[in-house]
Amino acid sequence: MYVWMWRHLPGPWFVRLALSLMLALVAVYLLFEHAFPWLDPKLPFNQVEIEGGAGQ
Amino acid sequence: MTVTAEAPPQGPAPRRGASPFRVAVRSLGEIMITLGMIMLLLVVYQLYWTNIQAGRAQDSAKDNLKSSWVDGRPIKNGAFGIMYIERLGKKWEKPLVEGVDLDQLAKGVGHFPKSQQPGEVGNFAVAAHRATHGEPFAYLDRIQPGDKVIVETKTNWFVYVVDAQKNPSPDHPAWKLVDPNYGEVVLPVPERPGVKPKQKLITLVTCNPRWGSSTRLIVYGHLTEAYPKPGPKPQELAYTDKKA
Repeated sequence: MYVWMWRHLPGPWFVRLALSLMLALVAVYLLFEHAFPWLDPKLPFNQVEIEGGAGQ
Repeated sequence: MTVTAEAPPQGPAPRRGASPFRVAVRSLGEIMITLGMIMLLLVVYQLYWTNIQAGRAQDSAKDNLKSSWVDGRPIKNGAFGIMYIERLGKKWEKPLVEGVDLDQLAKGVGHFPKSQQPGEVGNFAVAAHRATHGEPFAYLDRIQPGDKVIVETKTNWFVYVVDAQKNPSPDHPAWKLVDPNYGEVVLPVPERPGVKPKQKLITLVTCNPRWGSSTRLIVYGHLTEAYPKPGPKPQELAYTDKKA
């Protein structure tokens, strides 16, 4: 997978390195801004709600 | 006999088409490593990033609230009060927000919307995170009977005192654990459905164990003082002035 990406990135090695780092940063950004906030309410240790507390 | 007669065997020569088995194993390994990195990032996010975000949100909610009390501007961020608990730290002061959804709990201590307001007859019931998202109640298990929980609103300072539980545990007389679906703890008279309240009570709820959610940790208290505002800062809050 990474070999394939490396082969398909254009330019000499330092351009490829810079592009790889940028891709990694974009991936981290997407995780922190979208994936993890979506996952967050589904994790067990965030639950402080008590049944009927808000509803009844 | 020459040394360079034959090239030494070098394993498989660099081939374009590596065997499919090799490609599969390598890809699987890469996917595993990637998933591992994502897991590590998730840990960083939960333990570190959510606290930074919640800290900022709580500070701005508190600042907005305090300035709106001073100049009468409408309150942004939905905070309606500030809670002080000396046992949790001399600098422990958290915004009180309406509602106990995760969005609201990220901003501070959440008030159960159906429970009473601070100082009212009945039960002022609140919940907060025990871990991550600012974790206001991380160390609520240190609370002792007689500890003060002070609630500042626009009009008053309300001083609640933590009560010992009925049949208190010798290790932790001030709190007990209940099932997550035992909503009776936030009733006007806790655990007594349908009973008309006479006292002014408070209930604090958080999750237990700290990194789990199998039970809820419950603390009860009752109102002892209500100081009007504007007025001198109550002596119960004098400790906040001596910031070490």
